[in-house]
Amino acid sequence: MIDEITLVEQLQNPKTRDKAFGVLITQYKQRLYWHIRKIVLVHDDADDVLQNTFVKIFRNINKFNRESKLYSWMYRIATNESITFINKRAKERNVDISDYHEQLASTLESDVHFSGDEIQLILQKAIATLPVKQQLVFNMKYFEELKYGQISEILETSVGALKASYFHAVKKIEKYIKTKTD
Amino acid sequence: MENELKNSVEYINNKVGKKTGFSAPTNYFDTLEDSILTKLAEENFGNKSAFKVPENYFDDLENNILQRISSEEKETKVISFKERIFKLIPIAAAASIILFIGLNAFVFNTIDELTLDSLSNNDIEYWLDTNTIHSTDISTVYEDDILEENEFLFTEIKDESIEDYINSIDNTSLLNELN
Repeated sequence: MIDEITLVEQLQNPKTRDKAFGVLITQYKQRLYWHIRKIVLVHDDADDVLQNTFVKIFRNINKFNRESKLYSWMYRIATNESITFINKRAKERNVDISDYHEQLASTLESDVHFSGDEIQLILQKAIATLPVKQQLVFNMKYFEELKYGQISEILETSVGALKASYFHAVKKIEKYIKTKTD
Repeated sequence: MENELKNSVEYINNKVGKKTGFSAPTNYFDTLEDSILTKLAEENFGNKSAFKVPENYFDDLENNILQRISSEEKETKVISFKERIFKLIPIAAAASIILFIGLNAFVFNTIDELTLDSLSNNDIEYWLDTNTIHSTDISTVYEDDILEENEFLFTEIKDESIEDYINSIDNTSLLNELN
């Protein structure tokens, strides 16, 4: 794996940019896809958002400030693109973003690209009841196992606030699962 | 708070695990680079198309179409049922004649045509054994097809063609032959 600093240098140099961009996609496609997928839930939407994310990264690579980490910058773009996407969808359907999320989660049972069992479905439905910020923190901490410092860089939120968000998210999810299973 | 959080996370982990349940289509990631690079290239084309329509074209479109529809409606003639039946009589007569001829040709025609495939190998062998073929027989069959010597005369070939040919062949093979 090529290191971040070299990759950024190649990306910002017009001569090596196209080739380096191919390398960048290969290195980050899976991580960014799953990050986006957990927010938009449906594969086709995740595919759309992922492609838009990479296009945005390519267009703005010269504005990337080398002081911050490349991966946090890309995660930030992916997160913003995902949230913009679901906001737009909710607006088209004339519903609140949290209602939209819950509606979406209830369609997962019939989604061909959802292979989870009963309990995994319950967890997704539980996450869908949370406010967006708590969803993001829960996904990044629980599933992606990122450190608070990394999440803080991506979401531009203080570590203290993140810890509080995660605590609330976990408590609500635990309660939701208990009511559905016990 | 720390302990409470730890317990709750453990509860979720024991109950559900770390799998989300989401899956992606097979080979999705294999072709992703190409899809993204294609999308980037597409964006450079721009959204504006070079085609233009005359001024007010779309404003007048509804009226033009509606006008055409109403004028076509006026032209449509009403045909009575009786008229329709009378019109059908000659067609039905012609159809039954064609049907009769057709049936004769396909169904009642049972005489098989002779082909080489319908002969058995034994029959062919027997014929070859009992008949002698003369070279004159063969020559009468092929007479028309045999090439004339004149067709190979060099006077008929243009100089340019010969030059082209010499230029196009490999020199080394010529030299080898001369040696």
